[in-house]
Amino acid sequence: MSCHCIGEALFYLSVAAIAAIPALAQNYAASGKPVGTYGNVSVPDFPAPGRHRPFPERKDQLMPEQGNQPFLASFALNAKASGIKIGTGSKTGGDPMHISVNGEDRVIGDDVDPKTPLLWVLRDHLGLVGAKYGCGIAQCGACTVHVDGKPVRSCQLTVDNVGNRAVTTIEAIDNTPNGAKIQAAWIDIEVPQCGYCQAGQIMSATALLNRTPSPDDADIDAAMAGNICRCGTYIRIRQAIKNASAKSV
Amino acid sequence: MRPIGIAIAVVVVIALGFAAWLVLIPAPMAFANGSMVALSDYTGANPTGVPKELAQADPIKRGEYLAHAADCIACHTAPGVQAYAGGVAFNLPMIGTMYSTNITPDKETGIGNYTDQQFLDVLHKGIRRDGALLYPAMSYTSYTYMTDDDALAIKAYLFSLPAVHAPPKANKLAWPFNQRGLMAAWNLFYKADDRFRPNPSQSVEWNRGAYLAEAMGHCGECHTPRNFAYALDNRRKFAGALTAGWRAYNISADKASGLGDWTDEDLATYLSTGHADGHGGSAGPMGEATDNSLTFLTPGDIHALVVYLRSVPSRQTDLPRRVDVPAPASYREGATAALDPRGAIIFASACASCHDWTGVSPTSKYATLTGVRAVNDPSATNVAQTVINGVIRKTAEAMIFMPAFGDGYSDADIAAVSNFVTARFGAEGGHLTEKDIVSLRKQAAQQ
Repeated sequence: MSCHCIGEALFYLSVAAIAAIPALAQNYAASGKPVGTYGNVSVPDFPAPGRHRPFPERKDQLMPEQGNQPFLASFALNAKASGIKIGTGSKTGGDPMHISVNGEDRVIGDDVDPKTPLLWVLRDHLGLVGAKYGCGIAQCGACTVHVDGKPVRSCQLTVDNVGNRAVTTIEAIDNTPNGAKIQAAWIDIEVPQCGYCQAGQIMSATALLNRTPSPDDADIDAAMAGNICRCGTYIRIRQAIKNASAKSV
Repeated sequence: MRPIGIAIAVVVVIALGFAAWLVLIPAPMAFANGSMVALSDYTGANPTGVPKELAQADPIKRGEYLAHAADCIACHTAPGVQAYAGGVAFNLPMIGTMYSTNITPDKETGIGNYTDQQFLDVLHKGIRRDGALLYPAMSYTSYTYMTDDDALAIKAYLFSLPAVHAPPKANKLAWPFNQRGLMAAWNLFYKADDRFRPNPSQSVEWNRGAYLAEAMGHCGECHTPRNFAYALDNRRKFAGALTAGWRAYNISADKASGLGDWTDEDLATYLSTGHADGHGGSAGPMGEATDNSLTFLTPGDIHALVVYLRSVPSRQTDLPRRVDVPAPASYREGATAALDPRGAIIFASACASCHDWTGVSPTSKYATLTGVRAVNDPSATNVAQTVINGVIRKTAEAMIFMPAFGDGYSDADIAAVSNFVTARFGAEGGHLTEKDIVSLRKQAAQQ
């Protein structure tokens, strides 16, 4: 099927993108300017690609880990270079921001710029490191979370744009019936290989089942095409979604 | 013999009349009721110069405001090069490539040796310091309406900038366009060499808006169609045109194809920030015009521009009325893969995560496609250009970003996804081909 070819092409593009990160980051750091192309797409000067560990840690992704200070430091630096105001003191200009994450009301400290992508607030400030930083430009899907039940790329959603919407992350998705089913199906046939994309895959797959309880191949393609897997586990992803949906009917 | 003589005379008169109609074009502000008077005879508030907030500012600050209003930087700054050092390429199909010049005060390669009079001659008459005639790519046909004071304030500002040594690039024009001398004939018909004349029958805001839109911002240079001789055809003022591979849309008062269905507030917000909810954001050349020029204008000046834009007569064009309701949530409804499988696959993998199948973005209002003119343009030109070039704009409010896909996707892919997007979210799908994308890339290329 032609969809497989596309999947394969995306796979190679993602490998190229990931391989290009260190060189681009260096180039970026030296110039302080946009770096031009990054894999198959051009990237902006924010957020700085490649300032993060590009590779995942193979520890339990549900465990909180230490915050990523270098990102914030580089963000401030880039913001300064690009004219975005990052002062000291309150960035929200008064009342602290609140967002609802996994059913809890979380206060966002006034050390967080309101324009910070939700992904970094989750990872660096709230200790929820399940959502992963992949490309930073909404082209890989590793950072997918649910916002009011919809799959959203948290690298492109600024925290001040979350508003009153409810954020659900991979850490709490097993509290939902479809989330639990998808995770069980994932474990059952051992979907992940390296695992870096799986939080995003599971979030997108759960949203798919919420919307379409018995998805066919075309439904899966339409819903999952934006989540790329550099290990190429697409066949197992598809199977796991079907297995989970069989349990739900 | 007699009837033949009369017939010949009639034909000659008709031919002369047609020729006159072709070359004699109304002045840009001639559409308004009332007659214009010399600025010195105008008794209302001065519509020229800087707004009152800057009245006491030093000349260089005033010149800076005016240089922003006239958007000199847009054409005179190539990507990645120092401001005002020139070198921007303009690729005109059939005609060739022209490059903008260095207008920093460098004596050798810039305008460091220009006297005040020489600077005025460039802006008002299109005559270079060495006497050569400029092509109308330099919008002296608009700047001619600028007052001497304002032009010289801009000069003072430019001369306060660091001199950059940047030799001009040689134009690559096809014959006969490479014969600069021919511009003398063109100027005979189309050079106005006329300063701004206010219209006392119109409001103070209208006059200020007219000055900003015509003498400074030169909106018409992109938004007014050109005639066979590349002169602005003010009979179709602001009816929209293709410029540098992007479509500058109809900004006349027409309800379906122009700005008739925009509120004043939407217009003001769009002009000052480059985005209005329900209408989308500016990208490409208009994105640059927003970021380099319009965002610097005071709220009073933006209001004046809105008043003026509102007064431009309706010119109906073939753009369809905008669809302002979201597309179906399911990919199975509306424009689907059945219409364009390739476009649908690319949309699913690269676009849907931010733009959603409905077109209403869950991530950012700037990514919402519903109601955006570009997706409601069956030519799909600006959709394709946005896919190719992406969007990177920094505004006071946000960082607006879309990746540039031009290097990652083939021309056929870009055509397919652009056709799909216009079909799904707009009034009518595009019919772009691989060849069209090649041409669009060429026209918008900067090197």
